[in-house]
Amino acid sequence: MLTMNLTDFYFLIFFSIVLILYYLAPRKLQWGVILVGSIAFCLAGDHPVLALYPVLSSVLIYAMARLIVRFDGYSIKRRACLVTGIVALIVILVILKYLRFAVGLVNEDASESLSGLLVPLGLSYYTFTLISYLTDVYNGIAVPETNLLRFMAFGMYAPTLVSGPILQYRLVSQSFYAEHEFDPEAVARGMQRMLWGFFKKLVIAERLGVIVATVYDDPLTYSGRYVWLAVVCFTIQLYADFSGLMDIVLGLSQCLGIRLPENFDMPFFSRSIAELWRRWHMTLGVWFKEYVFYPLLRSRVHTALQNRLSDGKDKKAKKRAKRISTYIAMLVLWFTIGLWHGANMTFVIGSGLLQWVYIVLEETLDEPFKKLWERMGVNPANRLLEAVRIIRTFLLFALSMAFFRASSVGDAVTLLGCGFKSVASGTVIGALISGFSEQGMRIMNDVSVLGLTYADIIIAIVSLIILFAVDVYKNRTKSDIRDAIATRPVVLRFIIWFALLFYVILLGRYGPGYSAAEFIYQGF
Amino acid sequence: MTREEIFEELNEVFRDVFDDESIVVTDETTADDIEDWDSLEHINLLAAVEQQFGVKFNMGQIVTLKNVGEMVDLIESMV
Repeated sequence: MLTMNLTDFYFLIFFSIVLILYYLAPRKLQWGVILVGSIAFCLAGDHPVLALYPVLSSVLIYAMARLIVRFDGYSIKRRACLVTGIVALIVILVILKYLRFAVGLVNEDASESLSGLLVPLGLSYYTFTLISYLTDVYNGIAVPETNLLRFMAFGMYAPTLVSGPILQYRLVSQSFYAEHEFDPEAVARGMQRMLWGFFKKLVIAERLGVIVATVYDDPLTYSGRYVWLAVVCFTIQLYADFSGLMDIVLGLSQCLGIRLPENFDMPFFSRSIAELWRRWHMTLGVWFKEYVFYPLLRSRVHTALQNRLSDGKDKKAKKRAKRISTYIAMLVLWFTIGLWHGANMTFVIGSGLLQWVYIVLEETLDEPFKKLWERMGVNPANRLLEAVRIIRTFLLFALSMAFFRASSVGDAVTLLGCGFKSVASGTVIGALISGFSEQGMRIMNDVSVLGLTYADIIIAIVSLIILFAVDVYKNRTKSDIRDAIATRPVVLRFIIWFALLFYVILLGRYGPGYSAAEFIYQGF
Repeated sequence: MTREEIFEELNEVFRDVFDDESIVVTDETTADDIEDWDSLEHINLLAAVEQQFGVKFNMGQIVTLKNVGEMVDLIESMV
């Protein structure tokens, strides 16, 4: 699993070389530079042999797709190719990622003997990208690639191996294989986006991570509000970390002239959990919708279930049956999404079943609340209610992420339980103010109870305000702040981007002293 | 079946699925124009359309439909 980190200094040098070669290469062969770069990236890991997994998987899916188009629409062979490809990929995924978990549920000793299984980088991501490609070819909405090496450049595109986005060939291929002329403007924009990603990851996520680890590792000491602070901090850390990484991956691709799908759309401004999941890890949501949920809803099993539930002939009974059978299908869906995040009950509950509970509650409470507001004469779309909905959605999501972060379900329950105990000690801010008045600047380097120095806490707060302000801007104007900056006088642009660059270089937590933490989503 | 006839029947299906008698769809209508038309209702809607017109959509068509106009084109080619 270890490899070059996208925030490594060495990775940036590596990327610079790839970037130069990419624009020196004949335009028709630019994908070749990407392929060689991706293979080099995989080989740079601790276990180069693991690079065989994405290579072989790409070869298999390429071959199956070529076969599929040879058979006509109703041929059983056509279906056999689809099934072979998908089953092979799923079997590899299950063996490498879930076998130990499944065996461990039955027999702990036996699961230990499987601990030697090594997982290639990006397994969950490229597996999904490849399944999407094959299914779309089967459904007749993607034209299969006819050059194996060209296909491999797409199938194992290194930046997305670290943690997505999950790609859909039919939507990305045109931009991916186009001949890209060197465009200084696009490269500059891409680098700006990468810098913003580094800011989120190195300045914010790494600092919040310290607070989170301090409290999660020792909840009994940190009861009460500290627990809730850590729960909220983790949710923001996860966002800064994961969306920051996406900014790096999408920015890097923009430098190469490639447009990848967005994975985040300011999720914390959502008014419901269902909406949040349309704005958080969006490519995963689309994938599950198109390749799991829709086929599930249109399966014979589901139709049979629906018919069984609606014995009454009237419209209401039919609608109710439809609802219930949909909830059951959603349960399967969310269980799978939870499991995708990792072979642990913490993920199944945190990023799966709890989300299902939230969404079902939202659906069933929607009508009663609408009636209530109507009876009270309140406009359901008024600003106060909208704000309450946004805060409620964030807090519910944060609660579920407590399971996601904890090392076991028991730990999560203990932690949340501690949240209801009172704390005797004073607040961090109180300590900061009193310490400051007594010792002046010297207190800034003291480590607070949250595990960070007071100086770091202040940097984190200031950085969060910057992030919040930019996201509010984006959410209000629905436009990219880089466009707004680009219209400013050149001196001002220069100042803004260099200020951010130095901010990240000076205040980013990285380098040997910190052994830059892996991106949270990298393991999935 | 003419396009007008398809639209007429389609309006009935939409009104029924979304419980809203005021719906009138056109070629340009998309999921953004109808409040309850989310990814979940999309499947229910298409199932109702299939039943009404006696057609069967495949998964490729279901995920690539962009607006009601394309849906009508599809129905036109199948009935």
